[in-house]
Amino acid sequence: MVAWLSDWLRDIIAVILLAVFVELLLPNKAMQRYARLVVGLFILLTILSPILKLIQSDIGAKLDEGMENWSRLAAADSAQMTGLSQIKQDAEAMSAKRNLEAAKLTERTLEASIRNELIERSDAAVADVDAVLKWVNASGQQTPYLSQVTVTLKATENSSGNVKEGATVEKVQPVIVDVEVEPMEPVSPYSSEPKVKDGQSQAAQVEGNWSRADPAVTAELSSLIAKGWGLNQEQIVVRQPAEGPLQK
Amino acid sequence: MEMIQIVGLGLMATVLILVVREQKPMFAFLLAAFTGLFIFLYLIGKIEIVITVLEDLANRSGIPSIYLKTILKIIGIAYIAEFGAQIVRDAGQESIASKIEFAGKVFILVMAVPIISVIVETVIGLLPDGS
Repeated sequence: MVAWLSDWLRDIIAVILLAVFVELLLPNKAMQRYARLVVGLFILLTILSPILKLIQSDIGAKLDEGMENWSRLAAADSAQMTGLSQIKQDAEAMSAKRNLEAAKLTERTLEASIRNELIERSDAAVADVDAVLKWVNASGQQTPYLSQVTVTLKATENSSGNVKEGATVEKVQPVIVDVEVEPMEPVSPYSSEPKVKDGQSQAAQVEGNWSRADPAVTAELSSLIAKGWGLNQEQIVVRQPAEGPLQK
Repeated sequence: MEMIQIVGLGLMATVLILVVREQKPMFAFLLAAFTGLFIFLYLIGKIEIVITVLEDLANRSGIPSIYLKTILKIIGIAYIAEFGAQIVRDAGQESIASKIEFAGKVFILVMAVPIISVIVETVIGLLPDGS
């Protein structure tokens, strides 16, 4: 009890001493009136602190919060002029965004060209091509390389899975054949994934709804892709929907 | 010794300003402003000692640091507002000077807002709930 009382008294005395110092430091009378108000509020707060502790647990936190708010507001007001570092940060963020957009565009273009090529050169009914670009750091510049290509074949009514010339797409029950190009095993870090265990370049991804595509189609497509875009055949995976009849 | 230096500087500046004012009032004002600025910056370094003492006092007695921070902010605002107002007043713009002082007062009062809100909340909490 005595210890608590002495703590309290010491606080009050310290704040009052502080107040006297402040009064002495203040430049002129006009300011003194206002500063006296604030300092007086502090003294009041210190004197009231036992009651405050009784009523609400954390005045200190509340006060801190209010002050933080105030200083943040003031900072926001004065921070309209952006500093050089801020501008640099913005520029970096922007250029990163632009690089991302460029990569996306490259991917799209590549996909379109692969698709066109496949449609032109082969009988396969290519529905979709998905290319995955990876970035390599060459002489300080981030340059992209093609790490994975996924080719999705259109569904055919042919249950054999071979996409034949002139094969019509069954309206009722479409079959989707996916040719997926796997990531380069020696290059890509996730080559440990057991996608191409059997060494078959056209091994289809068996996960999800996809299963292997017909080897003939797969071989044709993957050799086309490998020739045209310098990909390893081992990176190429052919897959198709599991419910499709093409699965062996 | 420093006191003599400052007074000497002030006297010199005053005499020079009196001489120059007849011919070029503009230079007289500039001279006054720079003399004031110099003395102000010189004394800012001295005030640091006092502030260190205040900080020491606050730390030892264990009063919340937010008190000291606020009080120091008040002192800073008061000094800057006062200094700017005096320079402007020297230039003869009494009305602008009083606006600067007004801004200083407003900022000091804004400092008090968190404290006042805490006290008001406490007082309201003290009151018994209305039946």
